[in-house]
Amino acid sequence: MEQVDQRQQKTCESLRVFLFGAEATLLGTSEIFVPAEEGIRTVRDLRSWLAGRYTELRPLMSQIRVAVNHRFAADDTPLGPNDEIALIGKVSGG
Amino acid sequence: MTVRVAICDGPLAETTRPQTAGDDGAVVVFEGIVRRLENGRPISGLTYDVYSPMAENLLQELGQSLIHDFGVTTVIVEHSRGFVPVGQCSFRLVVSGCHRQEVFRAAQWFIDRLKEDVPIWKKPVPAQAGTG
Repeated sequence: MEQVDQRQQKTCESLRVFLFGAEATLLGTSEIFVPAEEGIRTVRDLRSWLAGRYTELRPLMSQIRVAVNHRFAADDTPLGPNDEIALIGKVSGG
Repeated sequence: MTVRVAICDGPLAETTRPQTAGDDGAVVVFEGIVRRLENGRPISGLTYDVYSPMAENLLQELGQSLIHDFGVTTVIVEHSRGFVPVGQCSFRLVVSGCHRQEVFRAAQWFIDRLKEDVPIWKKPVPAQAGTG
């Protein structure tokens, strides 16, 4: 995934979100940065922001789970710039 | 009681049956092999993407669940990362315990959960574009 998402700029207060599988293929990148000014405070905020910003993701949102610091996270989990955040869509190991 | 998890680059090497506890009377070894066709189309192999360390952590937790909930004694999990050619092994699960019933049930449950929860993704490499 070499293509860089030019719509987002990384800052020290950005949230960094890792992508894999179908989501990474759809957006053409393996990570996106959510600017601090977007006011994302929780997983729920992030899901809503992603669905609004990336219309390509909307059909997949119902099967996407969010992991925070390597654990699946509930919608009310708080998010900060030091958290490692990942979108976990449909997996296919084994 | 042992749970061992390993993510390995490329195809998994052949292995001999691991040493088991003295009371064990049953060992199930499951191997996942890359098939020639993926959704009806010929491939040269699959490329696996693994989100570490979350994948390893979840595999370890699933292994612990087998010991606590199914009563098995040994769980060994290996999964490939990167390219695995057709015909090669990309996943191996070894479960041992006293009797066949619990090890069969445990192995089935583990694989079901793996395919539901563990952040590993496969991507087919078309036959004409493959390296294998």
